[in-house]
Amino acid sequence: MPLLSFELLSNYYVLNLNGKNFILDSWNENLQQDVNDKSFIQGDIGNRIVDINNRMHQATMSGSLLILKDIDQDGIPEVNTNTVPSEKAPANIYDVFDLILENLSFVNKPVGIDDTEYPYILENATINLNFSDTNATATITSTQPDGFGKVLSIIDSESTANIVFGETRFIGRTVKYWDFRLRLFGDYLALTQANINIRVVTDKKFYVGNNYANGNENPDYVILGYQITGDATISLMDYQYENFKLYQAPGTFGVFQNKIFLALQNDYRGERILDFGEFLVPPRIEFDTGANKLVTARISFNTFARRTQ
Amino acid sequence: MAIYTSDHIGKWYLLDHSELGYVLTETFNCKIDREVSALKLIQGNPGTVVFSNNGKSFRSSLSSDVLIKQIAGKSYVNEFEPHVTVKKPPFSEIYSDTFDLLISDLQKIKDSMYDGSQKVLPKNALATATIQIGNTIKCNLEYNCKYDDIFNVTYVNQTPIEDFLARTAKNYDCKFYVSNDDNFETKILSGSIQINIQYTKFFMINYFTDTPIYSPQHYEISGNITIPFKDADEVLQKFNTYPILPVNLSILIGDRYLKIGQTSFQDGIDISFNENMNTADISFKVYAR
Repeated sequence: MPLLSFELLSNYYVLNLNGKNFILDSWNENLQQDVNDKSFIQGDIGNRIVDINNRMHQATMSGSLLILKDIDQDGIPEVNTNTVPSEKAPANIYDVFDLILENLSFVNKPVGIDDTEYPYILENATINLNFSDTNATATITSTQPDGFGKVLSIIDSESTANIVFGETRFIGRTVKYWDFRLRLFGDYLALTQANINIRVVTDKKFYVGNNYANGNENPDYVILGYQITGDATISLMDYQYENFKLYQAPGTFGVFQNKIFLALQNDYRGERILDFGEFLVPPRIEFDTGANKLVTARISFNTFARRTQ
Repeated sequence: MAIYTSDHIGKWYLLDHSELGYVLTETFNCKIDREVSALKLIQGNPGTVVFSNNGKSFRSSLSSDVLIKQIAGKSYVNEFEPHVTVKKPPFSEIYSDTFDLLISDLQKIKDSMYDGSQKVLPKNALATATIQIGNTIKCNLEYNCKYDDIFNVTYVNQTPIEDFLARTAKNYDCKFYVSNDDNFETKILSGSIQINIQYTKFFMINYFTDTPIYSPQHYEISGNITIPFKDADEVLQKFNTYPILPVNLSILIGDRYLKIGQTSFQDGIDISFNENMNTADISFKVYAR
């Protein structure tokens, strides 16, 4: 019976993006270059002329949030007896949550204040939190003419269970609901699920040719802003529903106030925090009761995500 | 360059006004107009070989929703955690908006007209102001000066700005007084106020510049309101019979008050029946002095 070559299976590959190794469920890369028919008075009803849009490289990566541990004691094989648990995170291994945090820290500062390279920009991201699973999806747009070619390498390794990412050996588990704290509306409430949406607002800029050069087929980008929105379902009693009603009295400005964040606990690398700021407004609140079910309120929210002193 | 640096993006700038701090506006434009006309001379060919340059002028304009900056007291959830710390959403006093600018500069221009010792600087040379009142309150201002006469346009680089949050003013934040009569009841769907300040341009010999010197002469205020109706006769009776209406024409947004005039003269009524709600558009000129 012939065997399929291992090189054709995704599990044997490691995704290295801009020098960082990512553990993902999926990596989906696409080159978008829309083509439209153009009809001319051409003596034929066939398709002879097309209009080709400028190209755009995007990739969507998704995966569970992870807690990983280096199983080699300080990375020194002879010290490793496999009896003393290591307290270190594996070097240079990341998940989608890291990518989101890293990109948000880029876009909330002015571009150009240092020599930071931006080979890609976060387009949008979603973090889903519930009882059964915590996962994240991020879509990034390449800023380079050849897409992700210069910053992406997919390395085949002998085994994902053994030696991967060079000499690092690790084990891990997915983040579960007891590993994170989500503080949205005043304090730590009893949540059944939450979705957090992150969007970086960008615009593509094209220029036409001049005396010296042609125009650009691959656009330049401007980063215009970022937004964090979402919704959360909270278990509550009916009288507490009133507390989430936020009205604007004439002439005054009311918001919900407190430190709001998502914190993922991780003993091996420290807490990772996605900070939403201190203020939010709920544009929609749905109170939901039914036979044999929990009394809940599903609350949408917009945060004031901004850079502060 | 794959990503434009942030100094290309207007959001990263602050408009620093010497009296009002940082003015928050959605758009800020500056236009240079140069009056150029072709001269046709007896010149041996029908083309254009000589131009006349009749001076240039600057026009700066701001357009933005008016903001509500006052902070509400109650806005936290305390049933779950009684010891939650309450912190006011920040709005630093160093920020203002286009409505603040209008109130300040209109007053300065009026002061200068009634008291010659009060000077109008180029940064106060307000030419037109429009306030559109509807679901939102929009304020457009135009100045007869260059952008850096009004503001020091500052790029914010590494240091974060002083914090602020605000919301846009809505219909429920606004009182639009169109009559002194407490019994004068009408539901206003929308309204607008136009303020035009007339300037005379002087081009002075020996100033060695093609930029004119402006002198404020007088100002005119007009407005209109759109109201719903079910009986057109009632509208005509209310507005057409007594075209001169004593008013304290003014706008209150939050706690900021713009006094506009004392009497209005109705100069047009447009009654419209259509497939939606019947509306009447009442326009008026204002005696403002």
